[in-house]
Amino acid sequence: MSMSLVMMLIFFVLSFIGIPLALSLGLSVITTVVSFGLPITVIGRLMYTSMNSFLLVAVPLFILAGSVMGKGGVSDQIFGAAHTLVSRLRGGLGYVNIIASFVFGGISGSSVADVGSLGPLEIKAMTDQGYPKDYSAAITMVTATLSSVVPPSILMIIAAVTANQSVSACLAGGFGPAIILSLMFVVVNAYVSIKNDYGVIEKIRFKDIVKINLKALPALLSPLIILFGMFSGLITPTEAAAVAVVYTLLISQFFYKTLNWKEIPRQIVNAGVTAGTILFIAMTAAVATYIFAVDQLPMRVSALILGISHNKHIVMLIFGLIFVVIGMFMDATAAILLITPVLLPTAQQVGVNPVHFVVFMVTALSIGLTTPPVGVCLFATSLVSNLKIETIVKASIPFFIGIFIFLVIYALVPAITLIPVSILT
Amino acid sequence: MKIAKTLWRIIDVILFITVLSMLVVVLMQVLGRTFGKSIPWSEEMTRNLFIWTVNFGMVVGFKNVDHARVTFVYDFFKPSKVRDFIQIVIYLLSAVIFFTFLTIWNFQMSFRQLRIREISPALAIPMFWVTIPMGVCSVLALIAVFYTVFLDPDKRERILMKDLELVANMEELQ
Repeated sequence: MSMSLVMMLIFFVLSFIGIPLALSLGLSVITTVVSFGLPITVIGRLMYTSMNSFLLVAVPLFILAGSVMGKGGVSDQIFGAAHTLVSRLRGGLGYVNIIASFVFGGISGSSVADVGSLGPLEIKAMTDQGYPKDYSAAITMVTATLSSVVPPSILMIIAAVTANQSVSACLAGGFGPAIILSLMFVVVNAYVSIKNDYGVIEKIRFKDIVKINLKALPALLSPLIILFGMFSGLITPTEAAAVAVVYTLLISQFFYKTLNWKEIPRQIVNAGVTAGTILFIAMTAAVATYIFAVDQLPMRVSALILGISHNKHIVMLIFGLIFVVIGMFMDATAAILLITPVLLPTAQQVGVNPVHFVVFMVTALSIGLTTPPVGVCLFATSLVSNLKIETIVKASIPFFIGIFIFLVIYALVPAITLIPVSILT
Repeated sequence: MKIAKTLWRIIDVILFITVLSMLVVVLMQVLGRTFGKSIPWSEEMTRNLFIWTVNFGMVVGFKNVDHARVTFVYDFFKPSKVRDFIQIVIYLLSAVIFFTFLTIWNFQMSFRQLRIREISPALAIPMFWVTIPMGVCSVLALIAVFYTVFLDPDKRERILMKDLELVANMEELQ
C-alpha cells in the first residue's frame, strides 16, 4: 500500500503547486518507480502501449466532428428547433436549454464545447425574455454535463477503454442517465420558473414551426446517423466518428452553405492537439495503474470497502460519494484513469455490472465539471455570462439538489444503464 | 526565433497529415468492408498514425501552454515578481526533469528494437518507427517549454494565468 500512497501523495503535492496534471503524474510515477526499485523500462513501454489503441482514435475524430458542427452554425439550428417545441410553456427557454444540450451532446462529446457554443446563445435568449442572468447561466452550465453523458462522449470512450469494457455498450448506457438527468432538470426548471413566474409564453405559428424544423432536420439527423451506425453493429465507434466528420462536412457545405474551407485545416490540426493534451494524461496514468497493480492496491481497497459492507447498493453509494468529491478537485480524465483500475474490481466482486459502474462513474464525474474549486464548465460559464463564480454556484443550488437526488437513485438502480444497453446493443 | 516558428509550422503540417490520414484510412476501412474487400493493414496503420498524432499534439499543447493544471493555490499569494518567478521555475523544472528521463528511456527502448529488428505484425515496418515518436516528441516538448518561458512573452503570461483566464483562451470556446 505504501507505494501507491507515496505516489498519490507526491502527485497531489505536485499538481497543487501548478504543475500540469500529466507531468505531476509522470513525476510521481518516476519517483516511485525509482525509489522502490521497480524496472525503469516499464515507464516508456507502458506509455506507448496505452496509446496503441484503435478505440481511442475515436477521440480526435469526434472532437473534429464537433468542431466542424460548431463552425457550421449547427448550434443555432438545434436551438431554434428546440425553441419551437416548448415556447408555449412557462419557463419555456429553460426547457429549450435542456433539449438543445441533449441534442448537442448527441453530436459533440465535450461539455466545455457545449458551454462555449450553445452557452452565449442560450443565456442571451433567456435574459432577453426577462429570466435573471444568474439563473440562465446556472441552467446553461448544469445542462452542459449532458454532453459528457449522451453518446458520443469523449469521457465515456476513455473510461470504457480504461475499464476494458465495450465502448458501444458504455456509450449506449449513457442514454439512461442522460434521460433521467434531463427529466430532473425539467422538474427543477418547472418548479423554479412557475414559482418565480419566469419567461414569456410565445405562440409560434404552425407554419413557422414546420419551416424551422425542416431546416434543422439535417443537423438533427446527425446524432441519429452516428448512433444508428454504431449500435446496429454496422460500424465501430471509431468508424462512426469518421463518418460523423464526413456527414457534418457535407451538410455544412451543401445544405447550410456555412462552411469555410479555409478554416478546415486549422480544425484538423486542433483536433490532434486537443486529443494530444487530453490523452497525454492517459499516457502517464497508465504507469500509475501499473504501480497500483504491483502494489495490489485494488485488492487492499476492496478489502477496506468490503469491511464496511458487502451490499452492492451501499458500495455504489460509497463510490458515488468518492466520485463526486474527487470530481470536485480533479480533472475528469485524470480521475477516470486513476479511479477505474482501483475501484472496478471491488464493484465486480460485489456483483455490480461493470458497464453500469463505468457509466455511473462518468456521470458522477461530469457533475464535477460544474462544481468549485476546479470545474472547467463552471469557469467557462463564468466567462460567457460575465458573472462571478459564486453567483453562478448560488443560482445552481436547486439544480445541485436535484442532481444529488438523481445520483442516489441512479446508484441504486442499475436498470437505468442496463435497459438502454440491452435495447441498443 | 525564426527557426522555432518554422519548427511549429512543420509540426502543424505533420499533425494535419496524420489526422487527415487517420480519417481517410478509417473511412477506407468502412468502405472496404461494405464492398467485401477488407483492408488487412488499416487498423494497424491507424494506430501508428494515432501514436504520432497524440505525441505531436502533446508538443503543441506545451507550445500553447494548454495542458490541464490547477493554479488556484497561487491566488492565496499577493501578486509579486517573486510569486511569478517561483511559478515559472516550478513549471520549467517539472518539464525538464520529466522529459529528460522520458527521452533517455524511450530512445533506449526504440534503438534496442531497431537492433533486434522487431517488426510490426501487419504492415511489417520496423517497430522503431512506431515507438520513436514519444522520444522525438519529448525532445520537442522540451524545446516548446523553453520557447514559451524564454522566447514567447505572451505564452509566458499564460503560465502565470489563473484557472479562469486559462479557460478563456481555450480553443473550444472560440
